[in-house]
Parts: sequence; C-alpha cells; structure tokens
Amino acid sequence: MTVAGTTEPTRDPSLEDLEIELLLGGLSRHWGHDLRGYARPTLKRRVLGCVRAEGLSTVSGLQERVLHDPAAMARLVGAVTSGVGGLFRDPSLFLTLRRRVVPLLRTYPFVRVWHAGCSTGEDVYALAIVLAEEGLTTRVRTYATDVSEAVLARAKAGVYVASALAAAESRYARAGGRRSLSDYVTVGPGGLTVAASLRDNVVFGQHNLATDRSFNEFNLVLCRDVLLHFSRELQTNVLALLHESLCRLGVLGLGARESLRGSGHEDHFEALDPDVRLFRRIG
Amino acid sequence: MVPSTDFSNVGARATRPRVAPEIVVVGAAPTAAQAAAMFLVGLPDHFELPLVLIVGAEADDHRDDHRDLCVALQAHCALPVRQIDDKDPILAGRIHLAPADYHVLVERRAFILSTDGPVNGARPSIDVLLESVAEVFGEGAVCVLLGLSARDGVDGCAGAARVRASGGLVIVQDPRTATSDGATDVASFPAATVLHLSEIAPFVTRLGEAELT
Repeated sequence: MTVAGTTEPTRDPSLEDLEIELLLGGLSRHWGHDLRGYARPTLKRRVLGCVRAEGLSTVSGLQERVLHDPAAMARLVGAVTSGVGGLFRDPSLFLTLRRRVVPLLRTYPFVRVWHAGCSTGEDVYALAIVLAEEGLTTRVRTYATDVSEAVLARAKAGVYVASALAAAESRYARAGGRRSLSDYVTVGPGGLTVAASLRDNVVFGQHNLATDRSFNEFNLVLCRDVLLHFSRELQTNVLALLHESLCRLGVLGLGARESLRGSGHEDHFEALDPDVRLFRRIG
Repeated sequence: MVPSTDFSNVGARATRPRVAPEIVVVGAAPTAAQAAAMFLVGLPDHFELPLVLIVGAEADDHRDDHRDLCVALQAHCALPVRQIDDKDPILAGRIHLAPADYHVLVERRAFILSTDGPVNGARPSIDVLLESVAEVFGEGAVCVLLGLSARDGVDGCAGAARVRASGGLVIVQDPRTATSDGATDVASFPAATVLHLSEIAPFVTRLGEAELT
C-alpha cells in the first residue's frame, strides 16, 4: 500500500470507478461488509493497492477473488478499514486530556471511556498511561472497539515495532508524561510490548460504527482518525451515534485534522481548546 | 502547450492550457520552504484559484503539526493560509496547506485526508496529491514544483507526470533561480513549463484571470 506511481499506464479511472461500485455491491450482498459509505478517494487508493498486493491487474479480478475466497475478502476489508498507529499520536491532544479532561473525570465517582475505532490500540494504551499517572485507573472502565477482529487481536496483544519507541518517547514527553515511556513497555525480539497492567480495566470488542448502535453512555469517547475514512454522509451518522453515546458534558476527541464543521453537529458540542480537537457535549 | 525541455527556452512565455485551470498544486521540496515563501509573496490578494501547498518533510522530521509553518507562510501571503482539515471545501482565493502526517486527496469540491502509509518516505506525499488531482481535475490541474530534482522515487515526479498525462499543466522552477534551496532538474521534467521563481506567481495569477474572461 505504499506505491503511488506504479499503476498501469493504460488504466481508465472511470472504468475503475464502475468496477469499484460492482466490487462494493458484491462485498455487501455476499459477505455483508458494507463499505459503500467510505470516502471514495481513499477507498479507491486502498482497493487499487489490494489489486497490486494480490498480484492482479484489475478491480474486476479482485472482485472475483474476494467473492470466492474468504481470506482475500478479509485482506481487502482489513486494508480498506485499517487505521493509523503510533503511541501518543497528536501529543497536544493528550496534554489537553491530562490538563483539562482529567480534572473533569475526577468529579465522577465512576468513569466510562470508549475508544471508538481503536485500530491497533495505541490510543488505548496512551490514555491508560495518562489515567495511571493521574491515579484514576481504578475508577475507569475502558471499552475499545473496532470493526475488524484481526485488528482487535493486535490491539489486545499490544505489540508494536520497537523502532517506533524513540519518536513515541518524544511525543509522550510533549504530552506531559511524568516518567519515561520505557517504564510502560518492554522491548524484546518480537518488538515493543506494553505492560499488561495497562489493559487491566479494558474490554476489547467488535463494533461497526457504520452499522451498529450505541451500547452505553460514556464520559469520554475517543474516535481519532476514524471519521476521515467515511463519506460526509456517513460521518454525520457516526457523529450522531457518538453524540448519543456521550453523557451531558461528556468529551469527544477527534483526530488532529478532523472537525465538526459542516457535520450538522456543531451546535451539540463546544471546543475545549481552540487548537485541540476535544469537544464537550453541550446539547 | 509548447513543451520546453531545452534550456534555451527557459523563461519563455508558455501557451495557456486549453481548458480553464481549476486548481493549482504547489509542491515544494523539503529544502525549498524559502522558495515557497518567495512564491506566496508574489500572489496578489485577488488571486482567483484554489491553491494547495504541500511542503515536503525531511526524512528525520517528525513534526506533528504545521501550525508554525502556517504562521510563517502567512507572513508572506496576502491570502489566508489554512491547514487542511478532512472534508474541507476547496475554496478559491485561499492557500490550503497540507497538514503534517496526513496524505491529501481530492474530490471535486472537497479535500479528503488519509492516514495511509508514507509514499516515497513522505506523508503528506506530493505524488499522492498530484495523482488524485490529475484524476479528478484532468486538464484543469496546474502543478508547480519548487526545488525538486526529478529522479525516480523523488516525491512529486510521478505525480507531475500524471498531471501532464491527464492534460494538465506542469510548471517547474528554473534551476538558475534555485538557490541553495536545491535545484530543479529541468531535463527530467518533459513537457514542463520552466519559469524563473519570480515569474511563477504572476504566471499562475494570469492563468486564474484567464478563467474569468
């Protein structure tokens, strides 16, 4: 999925668009995976990446394979829905969580947190570190969900590439970290493994934001770099779900370049800080 | 379109594209932030086209946010410079700055951000943006490359070729005006219009005005 300029010179973008429509229709009707609400430019790029990764030359060829081969179908769905990693990605958000949101959470006897679209789980562990350092661990229950079981298994394992540690350590420091990130991870031959204690109060479960309903009311919902995968229409629906899942004055965290502008939900939230994508439910 | 791969033609007036330009993408090498500032200061406040600016990052640069770059560039520019958020509308008369750590793709009216892995070691990648713009805007795409040397795998080269192949216009900085910023290797950009750095902003501005007439 890292190749940009190597597609066939003869490709016909509008024919590919038609093929992608057919692929998504087949995927939905045969396998029940509805990806039609995903933002089309990104989806198309990822589908074409799958065509190359499968050693095929056309989207129609990919369609044949995914309709007949469940493993190929799982690879396609995994590639199209995959998120982004990195412990303490967007450090300013975690700094604001610590300074502005932790004091709010302290006012509750019991706190529920939802990581909606947790991908490989880095945000789950980053927030767990903040909550541990702030002494809140025991009264917080965390629910981490993703559409993909395979991704959830990786989130549960909490094993990441060791070479990412230096950059993560720097982000952790900028996020107001009180110790050293290496206090929370062990580096071995298999990579970097987060401390098991960080998932003591975490429940991992499969949930599809595009089709499933709200399952509880939360004080804090992090849904970061997930909405950008969706079309504007699906974004609006998912934001309605997240809004419904927040208690009054509950806090929603989005990705660094995601906003509520144009979503129809602007009036339901107020920004906690103009520079950070944390919003409090006010309506 | 008269291609000018030959240095004797450097600075020559290029013919206008057949179709009115709809969007301008400026891709600057990591070392060409100064050239980007020089380009921006040359744009008048009545500039009429949407403009997307993408400044490459050095491999060891792990900036999480381009807020500082945005402020620095704004100081040189009469038009508002804004970092792109996902699904932002594509607006004329505005400098849309590609944010750190996201790829930028386009639909007809809006930007789509992506967290796909780095391309050519870069995120945002100039190639990813240009390929998307070429596909969506075709002949209406204008691409300006600052300080890029066109070797295989250099971010921006494959995308510029796609813009050209889709009928768009590619403008590259005359290497004789590229300072220590890094030189554009003109010979490797076939069918590109080659202009002195100081001429690029006026040229692109006239493209926008041509659209109005």
